[in-house]
Amino acid sequence: MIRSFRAFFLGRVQRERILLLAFALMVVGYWFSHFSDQVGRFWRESRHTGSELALQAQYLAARPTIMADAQKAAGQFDPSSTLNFAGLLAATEQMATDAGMANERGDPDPDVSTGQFSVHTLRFTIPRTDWNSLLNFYIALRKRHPYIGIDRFTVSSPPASTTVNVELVLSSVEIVRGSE
Amino acid sequence: MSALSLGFLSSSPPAPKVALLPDGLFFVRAVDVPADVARGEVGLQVELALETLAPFPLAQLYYGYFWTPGSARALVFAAYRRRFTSDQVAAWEGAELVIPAFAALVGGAAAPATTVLLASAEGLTALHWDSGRVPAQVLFSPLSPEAPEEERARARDELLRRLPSREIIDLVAPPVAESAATDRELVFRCGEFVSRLPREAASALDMRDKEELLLLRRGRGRALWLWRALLGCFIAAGAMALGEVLLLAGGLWQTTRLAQLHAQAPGVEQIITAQSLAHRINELSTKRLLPLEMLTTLVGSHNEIKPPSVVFTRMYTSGELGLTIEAQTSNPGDINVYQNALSALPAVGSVVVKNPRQQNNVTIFTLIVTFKPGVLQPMAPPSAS
Repeated sequence: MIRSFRAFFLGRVQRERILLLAFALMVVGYWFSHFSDQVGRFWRESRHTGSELALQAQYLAARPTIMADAQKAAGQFDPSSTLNFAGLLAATEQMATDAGMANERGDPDPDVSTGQFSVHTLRFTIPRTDWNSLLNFYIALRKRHPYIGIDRFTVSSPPASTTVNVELVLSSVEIVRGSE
Repeated sequence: MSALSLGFLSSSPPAPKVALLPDGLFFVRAVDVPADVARGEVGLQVELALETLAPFPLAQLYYGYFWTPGSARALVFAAYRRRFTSDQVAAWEGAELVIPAFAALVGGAAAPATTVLLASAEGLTALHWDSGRVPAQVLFSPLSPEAPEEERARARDELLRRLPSREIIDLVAPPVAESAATDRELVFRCGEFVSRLPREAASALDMRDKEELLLLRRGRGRALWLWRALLGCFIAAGAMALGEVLLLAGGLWQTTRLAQLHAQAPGVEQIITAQSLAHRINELSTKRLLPLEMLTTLVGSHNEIKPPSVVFTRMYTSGELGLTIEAQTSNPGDINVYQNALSALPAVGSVVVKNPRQQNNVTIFTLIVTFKPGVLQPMAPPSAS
């Protein structure tokens, strides 16, 4: 069939041969443009999926070690002393009240949990408190370590003011009882 | 534009267009050529021979020849140009080959001492091979179309008397060009007799004006380049069609991998969470942020380190060992004094002053302090006294 088409092509006048070739070049060029896009997209997706699968395989292979590490880390805590978010908020508010603070406010951050262990995060704001109350609150908070941890501590004081505004990010570990 | 036929879709290519001219118009001779002559020089040898043999100058002749490599002779034929009318010459346009009818048979595989007799409307032509592939003689006996059988038989006998032959092949129909299996040869069939002419030999047989032939060959060369480009397009299209199939298969493979990825994702997510939790729990139990201890270190337990003009407006921790302080002073010189004092503290790893600027007669600046690991200790609770 190729030889038939060759004979057909060579039997045309030059103008027709050039037109046929130009048409073929246009079709092939357009197709190549589309095809190269497809190949590029497939290549990128394939590489991305491959690297994701490789990462997943690494995690799945390391699963026993990671779970054992998590169990070991949780083993450092007495489950009965760990706090859920409500416990964390209540304990913090109680310490603030005991330290002589008022108008404090607590807001939750998203929890991180595996089902067996959870880490709760509390954003705690104390407006216009005096330095002594802050010191007492800080000492009380420190005594609850490691069941309550300070992630971030911010104190601001307008010039010539005797009070300070305090913002803390606190966190607590909760170990679901019976999970050890 | 001429109408495009779709006849090329048939399974075999069309036969080449060949103009076969009456043998009686040509005088034919076998001329000797040196056995070791190069192919490119044979044409020159033939032209020299023709200048000797022909009664007309070469420019007034249509001529061609048949020669095979290694042969010691070439079969040369020529005709006076004016024997062809302009209409006849115009009819050759587009022909791949223009030759006398007998020349179509010179590529036949004839045994030694063989004579082929080709009958035509104009007469009877005898091609005689003695040995080798190039015929030794070509004789023509004119006969009218109405000539009786006895006259034809007499003419045949006369020709054969002059050409002693072991084998005689009678051909009654004119040779017909066939589509060849390859482009490297032209094939003519006349009954059972088959003549295969290699392209180069066929080109030498073409009797048309040699300059015109050169132009035709150049045009054909350009057409061949266009054909090769078109063929390249076809090959590229074929490769892309194959690529599309592979992409389709690759897409199915990719779908399978994505399904696996999504199926594993929840389990992997759980492992990642467990890992980050373990890290977080370890941090909680082993690391302690000591912000007020940091502050006390920077001002001194009795405010002896911080210059009195420096006032802190805001402080916040950055990680376990970093403390950033926004401060202001009415005495810009105290900034350097304070920075030097802090740098001299054993617990302090680095002190950076950033962004000092004047505002309302005070200088506002930021202190970024990084403490050395393991140096800070929790301060003792205040005593009851």
